[in-house]
Amino acid sequence: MTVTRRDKSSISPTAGGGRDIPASPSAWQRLIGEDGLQKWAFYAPVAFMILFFAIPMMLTVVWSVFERTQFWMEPGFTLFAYENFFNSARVENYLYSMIHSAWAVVISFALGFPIAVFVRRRVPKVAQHRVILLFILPFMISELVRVFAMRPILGRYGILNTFFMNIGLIDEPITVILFSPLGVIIGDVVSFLPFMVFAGFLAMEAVQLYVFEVCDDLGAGGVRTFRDVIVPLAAPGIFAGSVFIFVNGLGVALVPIILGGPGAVNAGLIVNQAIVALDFPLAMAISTIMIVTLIALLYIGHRLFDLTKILEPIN
Amino acid sequence: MRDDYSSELGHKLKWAYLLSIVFALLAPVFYVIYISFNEYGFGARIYEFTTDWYRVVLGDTMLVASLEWTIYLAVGAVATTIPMGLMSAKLYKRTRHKVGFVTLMLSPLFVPADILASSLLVFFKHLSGAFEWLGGALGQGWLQTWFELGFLTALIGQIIYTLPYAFVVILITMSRYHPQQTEAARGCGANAWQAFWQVEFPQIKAGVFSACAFVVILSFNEATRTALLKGGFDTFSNVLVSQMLNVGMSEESYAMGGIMSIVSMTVIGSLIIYTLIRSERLERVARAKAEPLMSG
Amino acid sequence: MKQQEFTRRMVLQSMTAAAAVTGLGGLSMRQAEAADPLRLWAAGIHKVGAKDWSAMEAQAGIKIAYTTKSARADESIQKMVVGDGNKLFDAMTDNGGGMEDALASQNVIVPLDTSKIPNWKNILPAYRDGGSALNTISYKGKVYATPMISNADSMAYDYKVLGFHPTSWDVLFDSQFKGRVALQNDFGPTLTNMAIYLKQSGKIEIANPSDMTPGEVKAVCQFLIDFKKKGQFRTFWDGFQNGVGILTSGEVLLSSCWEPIQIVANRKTGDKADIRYGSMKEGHQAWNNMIMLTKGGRGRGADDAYYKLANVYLSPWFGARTLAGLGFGAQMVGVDDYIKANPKDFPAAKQKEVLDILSRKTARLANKGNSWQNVFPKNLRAYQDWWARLQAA
Repeated sequence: MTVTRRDKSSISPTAGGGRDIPASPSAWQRLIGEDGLQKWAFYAPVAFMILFFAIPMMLTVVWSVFERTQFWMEPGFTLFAYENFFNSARVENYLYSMIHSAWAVVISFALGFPIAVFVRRRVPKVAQHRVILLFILPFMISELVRVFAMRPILGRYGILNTFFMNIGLIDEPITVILFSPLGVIIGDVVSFLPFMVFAGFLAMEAVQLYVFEVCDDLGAGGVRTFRDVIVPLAAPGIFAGSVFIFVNGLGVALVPIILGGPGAVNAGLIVNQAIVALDFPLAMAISTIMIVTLIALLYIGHRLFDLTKILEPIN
Repeated sequence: MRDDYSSELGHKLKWAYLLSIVFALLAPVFYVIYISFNEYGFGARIYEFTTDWYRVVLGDTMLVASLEWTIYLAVGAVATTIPMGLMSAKLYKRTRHKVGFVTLMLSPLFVPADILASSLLVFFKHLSGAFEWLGGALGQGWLQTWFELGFLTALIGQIIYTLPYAFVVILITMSRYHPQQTEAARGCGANAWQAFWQVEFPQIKAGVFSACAFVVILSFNEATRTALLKGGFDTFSNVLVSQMLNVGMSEESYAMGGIMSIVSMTVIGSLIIYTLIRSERLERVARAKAEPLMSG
Repeated sequence: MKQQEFTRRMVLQSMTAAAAVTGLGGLSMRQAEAADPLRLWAAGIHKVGAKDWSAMEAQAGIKIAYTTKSARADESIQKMVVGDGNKLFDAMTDNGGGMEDALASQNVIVPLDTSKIPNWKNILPAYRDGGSALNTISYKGKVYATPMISNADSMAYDYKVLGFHPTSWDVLFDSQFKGRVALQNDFGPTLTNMAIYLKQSGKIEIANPSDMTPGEVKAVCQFLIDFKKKGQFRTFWDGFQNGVGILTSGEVLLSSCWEPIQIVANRKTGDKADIRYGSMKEGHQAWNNMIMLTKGGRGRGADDAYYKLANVYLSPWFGARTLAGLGFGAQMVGVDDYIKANPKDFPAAKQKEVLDILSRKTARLANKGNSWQNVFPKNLRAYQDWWARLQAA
């Protein structure tokens, strides 16, 4: 099945010789290469994604131009769904939700990334992963229950307000932390902060401890070390964490439903509402717009910062 | 590992910050546990302590069955997603079309749950029809039920949802593994599988376990895709969502949630304490070895 | 039979198809039951008597294999029309006044033979020929559904804080309650109720509050947008739990919501608050939930089991209990007699409470200004678009 030991040379194309190439490989041998059939096994995930994701998604774009019937849709071509989206104030809701999600990302980064750095640097290696596990604990309860539990904490007569009033800091309950955009942002941060910690920690694994010593020795202050050395090195993880949080903030309909003000929505909820009203072409159109927006953001980021550099530490 | 220039106070403050963030994140969890002992359930203005709900929760067959299904789905998701994530990460390193590949693998992240589920639902309907016809034409009855709504379809929905996360986590972990080690192993005569399992895997184990934890968490909490793509069963999240919308979450649900958090906190808490104690001991031993005169 | 036993069989079917997951096939298998249960897709509010469906099963003399359902219209359509609903379920529940039309027109449910349901003779007059509610359970002249519960949606309020009993919807717009008011986050019930108020109070000309023209929708929404911009509304609630939570925590003093929300909220606050449900003089949106038999169910011979269950829903046993438990309206006559005749189940204090709810509910349902829920109004798109504008305001 496999060729002789001598032919099983390096995977990396740049590595040196010692390769015995048979004079004229048969078609079968060309197909399976040196490693045998198992090479093709690696394409299984790709095949899976194409079959169960790419194809349904292309259908989504196709359906977004279909005509709407009372309960479903029928084949046709119309841009009415897109017109509807832009003319009906949904686009404003969509943009607001993107701004709120962006705030959630920024706050999560400010709160969570320093923790990842601290754990990597100061906690004994043996214990590092266990400490990070602490951040998994909140997820063991369903998200729904956790977000609901924010209400008695942030509410008019909730724990926070009662505490502040008892210590005399305020006279009237603070109502702006719940049923408002701020409430949604707080909810997003509390729900998704661990993603930033995990992703940051994983990225920090690529940062060797001697880097800190080197910076200290060279006299760089904490801020400079952080800004010029650590952040670029940990960029993949920061990027991944930001993407997770941004996308979840946009898409998880629960948070605005439970913590948002009157009619608060995010992109996921807008889609949800379109589906509930059985307007499938509109739902598909919003989804297409969402995918396009995110790809556009990535592209702009790429032009500004050259995102392939993020992939570099991984290569 | 502390260097000579850091301050004890700074260190303690940073630990305090970390623990306060953890505590803030866990506040909802503690609140839920507190509420699960309330006679009047969640959102009541009166509180009467009772352990009734814990006594009856295991007798609530619907909740227990839903928890079973949640676990089945989570196990199924991990068993399929992690190997696929590993294979994708390895493929990423070899392929020339890196950007395109990453876009394909990460795009499920950008699609709202409802849309993914709706598109998959219609897709499965057509697939199911095709297989029914195929099974009939070939006379193979067992083919006819493929892709009918059931466990398999719900699992596929979950895999599409969690695979990008597993892929990214494993990719980041693999980034600090030196591929020359695999080459060396192959040069010594190991086949691809041995090179992976015996050389590479032990070094990326931690990352792989993180990915497993991630997938389990995501699967546990997922409700929308499962609701549309499942057959005649409910997961715990489905039950919770249905209760939230229709009758209010039952007190047993909070007790169930309480049990899940108490169990996980105990497990993880003891892991952490054990590891910290062990690391203290190891550190002491190392210091003793390094400075036999100074210690002891 | 329990849910998990039914689903084990389903899992077996999918599992034989998927080699990769056969490993799970061996986990906790139980003995399959001999008799086929009725596979029911319903919400939790449709059962009484016990925490699970055992009381309903006992009363009907059948076994039920139950799967949870939300109240979302799209889930019903997607599962039944697009998905495998007909293979999975024998019977399902949903809102009357629209869903039965939609599902019947798509041929996924079947007409009923009401002579097979003995208790049909006791059904409320509104469901008989010529009654105002008949078209909420029928399609093209044939009956497709059995009604189970109904109500007229009004307003819950904290009497302890208010000090008076509101009798008109305009209290929601009173500036002294700015920021303490909530509406339901669903354009159907909210816009219909507001339309009823605005029509009856003469503020806006509206022909049919349940099926408004785009111009009428615009007028109603602009009225609401004005008040939203002034900060009148604390939030729009979505979901039972949510609706209860905002009342019990005192965030909101007035909420346009379902009656069970008020009942549960009142139980949770003890004497710290006194949450009541009012009747508004302008009228309310009336709605019902009904149970239907799927085409697949008929094909599998589930008719008998269905008719037995439907019979229970039309029995005063069910009617009295749904009234006492969650405050939903019963669909048959004679409930008050049943309650008085069963002091064991309804001791004196409970009797008084339930009969009180019943009488107020009957009065509310008799209000001339009421309008039945219409799940699919003709100008649905206008409703959606203006609701989006209201959300953005």
